[in-house]
Amino acid sequence: MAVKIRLRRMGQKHAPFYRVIVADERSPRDGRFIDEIGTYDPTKEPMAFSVDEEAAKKWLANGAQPTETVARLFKQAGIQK
Amino acid sequence: MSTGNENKICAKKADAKDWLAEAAHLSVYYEYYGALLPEKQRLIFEDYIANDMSLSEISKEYGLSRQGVYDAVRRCGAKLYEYEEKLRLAERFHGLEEQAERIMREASGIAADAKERETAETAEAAEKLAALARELWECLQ
Repeated sequence: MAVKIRLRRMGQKHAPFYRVIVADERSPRDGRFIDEIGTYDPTKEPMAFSVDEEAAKKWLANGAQPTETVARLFKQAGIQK
Repeated sequence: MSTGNENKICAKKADAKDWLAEAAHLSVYYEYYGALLPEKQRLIFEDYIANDMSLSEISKEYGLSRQGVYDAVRRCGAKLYEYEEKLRLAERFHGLEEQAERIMREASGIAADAKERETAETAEAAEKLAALARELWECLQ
């Protein structure tokens, strides 16, 4: 079963805040996840994205698929081409 | 039915730079007006925005066409923009929240000052004000 790296929204009403999580492809709704590897805060200027680079690379090498959004964030952070 | 807002929504995660900024807006609007959307569309939109699922993942989950999901996302996005344009709840609450924070800071400053000068009555009054501002701020969360 495919493993995905995606964002999950946390935070308060006015302050969207996301966690970067590694989860089974089929479990985004029920909240289960395998690993949490970073955070993303779009309310900061410039936006704040922090991720455990080693963990991210490990998951990518093991075939975890980032979502489109996460892939773009990784690209901006220089983790992925 | 077109609301005229649909053009504003790129709804394309591939266009990420704009998408990220837009997703941040939409997720705030969703917190305010999401309950006004039809149940099914609400679930789809939430999956798209808060759970970061792709159109094709959502279409599989609900047994819909990818195009159908895309249309639902755009419709929801357009609705949310429309509600915010007309009601401006997100903008107003955000403004109130900032003001409440400012009052809290100012009042705490006055309280600290007054304590140093040993004017206990003023310190107490300022602390009360700070506490009230804090309650207001908490109401807005």
